[in-house]
Amino acid sequence: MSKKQKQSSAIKYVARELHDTDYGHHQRQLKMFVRALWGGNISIDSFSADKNNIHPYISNNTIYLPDKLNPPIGIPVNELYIAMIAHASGHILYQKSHRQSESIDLTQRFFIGFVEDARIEYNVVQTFPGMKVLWRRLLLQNTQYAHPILLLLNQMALLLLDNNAQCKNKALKQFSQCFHERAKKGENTFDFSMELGLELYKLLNQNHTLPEISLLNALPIAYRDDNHHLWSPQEQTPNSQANKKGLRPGTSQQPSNGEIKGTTNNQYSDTITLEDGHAEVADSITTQRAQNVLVHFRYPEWDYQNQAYRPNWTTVYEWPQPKSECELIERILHQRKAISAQLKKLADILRTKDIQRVRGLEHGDEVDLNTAVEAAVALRSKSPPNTRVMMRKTIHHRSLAVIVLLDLSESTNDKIPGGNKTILELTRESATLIGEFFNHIGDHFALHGFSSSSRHEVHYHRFKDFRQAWNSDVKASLAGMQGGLSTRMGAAIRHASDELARQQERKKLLLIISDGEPADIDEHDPHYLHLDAKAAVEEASNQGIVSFCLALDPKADHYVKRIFGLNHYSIVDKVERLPEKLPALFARLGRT
Amino acid sequence: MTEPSLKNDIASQYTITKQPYYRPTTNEVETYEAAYAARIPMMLKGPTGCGKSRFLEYMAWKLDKPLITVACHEDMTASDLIGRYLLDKEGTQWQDGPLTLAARIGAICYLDEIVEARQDTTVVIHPVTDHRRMLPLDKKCEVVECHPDFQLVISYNPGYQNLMKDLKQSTKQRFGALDFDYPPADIERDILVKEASVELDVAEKLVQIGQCGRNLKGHGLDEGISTRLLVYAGQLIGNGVDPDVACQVSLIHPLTDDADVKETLYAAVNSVFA
Repeated sequence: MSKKQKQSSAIKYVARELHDTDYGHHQRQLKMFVRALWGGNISIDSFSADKNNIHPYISNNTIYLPDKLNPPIGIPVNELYIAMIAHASGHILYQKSHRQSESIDLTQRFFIGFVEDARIEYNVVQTFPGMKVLWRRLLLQNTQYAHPILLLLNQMALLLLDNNAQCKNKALKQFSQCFHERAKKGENTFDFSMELGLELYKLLNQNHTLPEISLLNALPIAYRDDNHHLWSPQEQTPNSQANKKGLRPGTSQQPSNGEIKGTTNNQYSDTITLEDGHAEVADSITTQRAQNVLVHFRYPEWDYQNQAYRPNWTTVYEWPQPKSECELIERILHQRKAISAQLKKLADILRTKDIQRVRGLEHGDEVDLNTAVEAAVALRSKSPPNTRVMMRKTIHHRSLAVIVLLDLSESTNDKIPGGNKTILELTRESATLIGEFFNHIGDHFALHGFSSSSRHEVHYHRFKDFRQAWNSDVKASLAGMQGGLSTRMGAAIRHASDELARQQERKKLLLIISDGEPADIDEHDPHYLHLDAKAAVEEASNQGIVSFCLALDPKADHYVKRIFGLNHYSIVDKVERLPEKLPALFARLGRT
Repeated sequence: MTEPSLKNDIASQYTITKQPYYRPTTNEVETYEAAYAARIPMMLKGPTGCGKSRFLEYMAWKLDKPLITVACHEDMTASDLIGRYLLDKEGTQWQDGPLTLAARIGAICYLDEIVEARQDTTVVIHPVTDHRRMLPLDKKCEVVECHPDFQLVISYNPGYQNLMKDLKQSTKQRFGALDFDYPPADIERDILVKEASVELDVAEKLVQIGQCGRNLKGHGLDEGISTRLLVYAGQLIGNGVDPDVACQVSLIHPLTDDADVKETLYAAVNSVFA
């Protein structure tokens, strides 16, 4: 590799790491677009694009988009992405199986894929007619062709998309009419595309010299994918491992954004990897802290298969929280000065003063002069007076106790998608801001965290306890926050609930901030820990504690809803804004 | 004591004379009729704009009973429901509140968004919602026996993300509940055709956009696009407004200020309206 190539590759790497890519800028909008149009069944991710690698590809219901685009003039980047997503979603929705292709050569495969593209576009357009307009615009942008046959193919693509498009070539026109008539009659399978694809191949092969497959593949329709997924996986590539990992067939390209990982199929293999990763962290933490263990508690765990509690099954250790320089927290407060000031204003609004004048009462301790005068005026003018002319001074307490429980598992050390901070850093910032906020508002609150390494060792950390002042000691604890191990949520919820139940306040809220589903190294059945966490939430509810989960995992719907129940969770779709959003969300939840 | 003729006069004010349009989605009409026959207090649950209030209007019309609606709010007191003494030149005069009035004349009393009222206010409905069916007016030293036709109905939207606002268990467990949701696509399309007088294909497209918005609930939107908003969009289109603009005005701008969500919904509208 030359020096220049190395430099360019390094620049790309840095850009990708900083998410300074076209995809990085538009990913939130694109993800919402996919969800809006097709629900949660299709996901998107990106790969590092280069000159030879510009087409999207599909693997396991995930659409991989190039992270850099070079859209035609007049087409905005996000529209080209939308065109790509709509086309690839069509493949996922309307193409049900792979094909064996012993007797079909690569050129014939190209033509079958070409007609299959048209078939799925036909289907998408039936539901979303606006996509036809966008795809048409993109097809009309193509002006330069490396071979005359590519011009014909572009015209063919236009005709298959829009039967009314202009074309002087009678044979193409006839072919397109046949396609539209048969599609209209309901012929809508891959066999249909095979038949017409081979027919198109014959048609063009008779009258023209077809170029090599590499040239055909250079057909400049930017929004279409590589169609590798049409053929059965073992034929796509000798490296079948690549497919399992969601990589482009025939490449070892890593997806550039690690957000979408671990589908149901590879859950177990992911867990095994985690085990390996955790062993080291567990060792180091265990050695560091073994001497400092003070108290431990045992809690039951819900076994859904036996429909019974396993008594004394988990052990929660209260680890002394290591401290660090509290300057770190002061720095965060300084950096986030603007938000902190806004939050103080919000706290002022929410904070109820100790003595309140309750006006507009029918029966009160003293006359409210203003209202009494208005009532007298109304009486004299013979209109119905306001009879609530009394007022009372009451001592009002905002009776709310809150535990904010932070998930401190290993995954918090990951960088957030689209940013350069780790989830742990954001959690720390959020905890700092929420601490300032509560301190100002005067509610009783505690900041705790948890992680786990099997049922024998659930670690519980106390950054701030109820009634403990918000001081440099607490800030030093927050600065010492570390991420490691797994997420045994049920045990941590039980421990926090026990503490919350002992509080005197009338209302009790347990706010859990988690970046992933419950998982632990000694439990491979994903349902077990989900259902145990659900049981723990129900136990808390029976004690009068409201639980609410703030999930940082964009794919958390299915399990968070199951654990916490409808309306008791929120998914933070833009994790980097968590520090600003968290206190505002709390303000909304905790409005008494 | 209110005279029978006066009672009839008052009842006629609250009677719905014109049939409201309501398209049943399942068997809610028959269920409600059975509940009314047994005078079981009812709770209508469901997201905003899905047709709870319209359903009750329709049922009141179908059963030919007066309907007294109270929009509940945080500052509402028990007196606002029961009634109070007012001053006049001759001294004081008792003024029935909507709940008392409904109990006297045999109306359906509808407490809309009951969860907005404070919990201590809502307990006044307890005596009228169990076997006693009576309303004690403590200030007047009177006990109002509920008219045989009287029924209490409440509505609330469980989607409010304020955990501190909920009904007490003792209140909840006095009601039968009908769970409403946005209607299925074909029924929602019929509703739009009827309510907004739009063509069938426009209605289908609006329903499709509604679905897109509902997919974003919890992922940028707090609530999905309601049927009511879809009707507004249809009405604007029916009055000659361009579909894109109509969707922006009625489906996108009222729902969100988030630029990315707006862009997503614009793209969804453009995908549906070619």
